[in-house]
Amino acid sequence: MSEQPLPPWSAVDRLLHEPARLAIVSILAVVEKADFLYLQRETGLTKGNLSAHLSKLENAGYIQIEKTFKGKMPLTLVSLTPQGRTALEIYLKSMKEWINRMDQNPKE
Amino acid sequence: MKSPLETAQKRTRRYWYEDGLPELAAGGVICLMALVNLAVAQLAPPDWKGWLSAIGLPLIVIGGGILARALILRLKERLTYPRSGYLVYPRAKPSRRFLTAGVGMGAAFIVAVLTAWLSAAQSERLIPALTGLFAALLILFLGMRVGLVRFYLLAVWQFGWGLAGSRLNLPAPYDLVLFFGSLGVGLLVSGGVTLFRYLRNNPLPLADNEDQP
Repeated sequence: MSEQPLPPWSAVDRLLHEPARLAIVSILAVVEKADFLYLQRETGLTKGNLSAHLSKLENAGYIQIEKTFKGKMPLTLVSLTPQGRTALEIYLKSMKEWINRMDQNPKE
Repeated sequence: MKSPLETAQKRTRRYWYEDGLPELAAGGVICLMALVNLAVAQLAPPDWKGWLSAIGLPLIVIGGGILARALILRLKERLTYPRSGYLVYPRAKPSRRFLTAGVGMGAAFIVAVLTAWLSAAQSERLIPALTGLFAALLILFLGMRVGLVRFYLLAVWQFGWGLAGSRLNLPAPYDLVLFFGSLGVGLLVSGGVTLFRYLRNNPLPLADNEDQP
């Protein structure tokens, strides 16, 4: 049986290979926009931590942050960019590929 | 077993129902339908009854639906979004909306034909039980789609009332009053309990947005 080598780790998106950032992007994948409070509540991160992760994702072009107001209250809305959606799809596909190949060769 | 990411996505998809407000609004509209049926049966002159029901119920469904949606959004802005956050869901494409509406109308037609056929073959007394069963299946489907256990209880409740309707064998339109009334009250109770628990578990956070990017 021909054995296919596992894809190199360098092919994995390191930015998304972090649980908190992956959670943020996964949530954003099923909505058009989510606000800061929702993301904070769902991920369980502190404000500072969530801000840091959002900044990294924004710098990579994966998300878009829009600052607006709802009445007098400031509202930070976050949405996934097409680039971010593609990155998530590629990441999930590559991880599935890893897991499938490991299942095929459990002794390795 | 579902991954934490799938769980988070599922929770995000059902966030709309988290506060019970949609059930309260739907329950209100359906209770109004029951009350209109009751009022028409009790108060309207015999010649007008058919017309009033034929015009009144669609008006309540359409007008009530529009009003209920506006009310839900307003209440969510005051109660839900400041407590647990704000989400914008993607709008369904027009083609998908037409497909959903078509499937809904097709299902309603099949249910109506099946109910008429089964009740003609057996007995008219079966109509409330069959209507209750189909309503329960619809609620069950919605519950499974969004992953809400309380909808399963609501389905059992509605089927139970359908069986009770068959046993009571009420004359028209009191059978409809019972059907809409039980469904409306069920939704109001479910929504009320959910809203109470939501408000208790989600106090208003302190206003502080300094750390946001």
